[in-house]
Amino acid sequence: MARRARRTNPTYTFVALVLISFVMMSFDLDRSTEDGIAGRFRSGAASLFGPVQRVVDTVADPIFGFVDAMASLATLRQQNEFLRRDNDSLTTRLQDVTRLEAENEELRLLLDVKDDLASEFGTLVADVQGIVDDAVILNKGTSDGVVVGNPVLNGSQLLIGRVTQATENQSTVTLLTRMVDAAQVTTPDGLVGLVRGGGRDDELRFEVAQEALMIPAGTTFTTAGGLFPRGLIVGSTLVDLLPNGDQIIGVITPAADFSRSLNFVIVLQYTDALEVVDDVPATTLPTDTVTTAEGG
Amino acid sequence: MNSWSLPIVRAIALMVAGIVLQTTVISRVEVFGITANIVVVFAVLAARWLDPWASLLLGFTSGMFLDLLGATPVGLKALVLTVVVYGAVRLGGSSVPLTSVAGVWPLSILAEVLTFVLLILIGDGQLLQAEILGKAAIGPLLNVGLALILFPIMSRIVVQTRRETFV
Repeated sequence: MARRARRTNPTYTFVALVLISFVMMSFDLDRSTEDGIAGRFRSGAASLFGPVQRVVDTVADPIFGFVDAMASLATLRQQNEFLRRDNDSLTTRLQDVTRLEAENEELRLLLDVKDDLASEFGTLVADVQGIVDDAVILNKGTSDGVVVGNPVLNGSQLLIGRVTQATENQSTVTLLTRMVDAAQVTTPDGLVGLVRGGGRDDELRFEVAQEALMIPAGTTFTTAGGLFPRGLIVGSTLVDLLPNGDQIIGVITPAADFSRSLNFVIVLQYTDALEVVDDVPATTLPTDTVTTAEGG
Repeated sequence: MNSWSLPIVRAIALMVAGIVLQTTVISRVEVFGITANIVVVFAVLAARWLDPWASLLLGFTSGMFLDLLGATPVGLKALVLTVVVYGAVRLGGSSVPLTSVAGVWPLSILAEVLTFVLLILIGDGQLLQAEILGKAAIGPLLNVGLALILFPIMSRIVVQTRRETFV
């Protein structure tokens, strides 16, 4: 009876199993060694369950991968949206920085140029307020010393045009490429001719009536007095300019890049703008385009 | 095969499947960083239909295998599951149905607390272990959810087997 009671009473089994558990725990407290009894049991259990676990993993892995991907889809979309916004913001900032760098470079050049030119002419640095019908509007006017006919240079000290209108606080610059007035230019060889606007940003028309063999490609043209003071770089030829009869008519590429937006310009307070171009025979120029002061 | 042995064999088969699922699938399904414990659920529910000593042996063995396959000292989970099953068969009754879906909740809390205490005693746990609260709060609820799914399955497998053997 007692043995039967012992068998049916789970307390005895419970106590025995608890004792066994404690003994096993005491054996396995130092789990760093794999050679002990517990280590061998662990190896055995891994051998027993390992293949089954691998099979289940093989089936479960793709499912969990799919579920993870679906769960993270919304997060990825959100992150993508954030990254797009960041990218847009950074792109805008990069554009601002690039513009500021160019502006900074231009200002540095302006400072240098101003020092160079100040010894010869009075100079004014003017902000470009806008461009209307290919005319540049400056924030300096007659009250600042600007007068009609003043040559205007960009930050790289390259001629870009001349003042054709001036009010008290504002002035308008007609770009070289749009000028209908003829400006006197010269080559390093001393050949003197006239240039005027070609109607395009990258083109000036050049004419010379003197007898000349040719003007080779790469020749640089500088101003030769008259509308503009001597020595300002105007442009150069990309091709050989060959005579046609007793004239050479061709295209000069302006030195200044008119496709770039301007932020600041230098106004030369050159007062001989009304000087008559008398080096070139008037008969060689179209009578409707040769004037001494545009719009005046 | 004896009338009582076939249910035990099937219960052991279910428990082996539970151990495999626990170590491969269930352990990867986390809710607030906490996972359910299907082996505890199996052990508690199996005690409803098996003899007490068979339930104790089943709980002890499954805990032992969990120890062997995991990182806990061998015997720790065996001890926990043995205590849980003993609590279910001794304290449960018609008035306190611990070997049921509802019983899974307090017994799961007991398992978590006991595991925590044992880990402290052997120097593997920390008194300020923050996750014990999460485990004690969320883990048992997850186990109850599992029990809701497993209870009908186990009753079909184990109880029906008993009926077949009686016939």
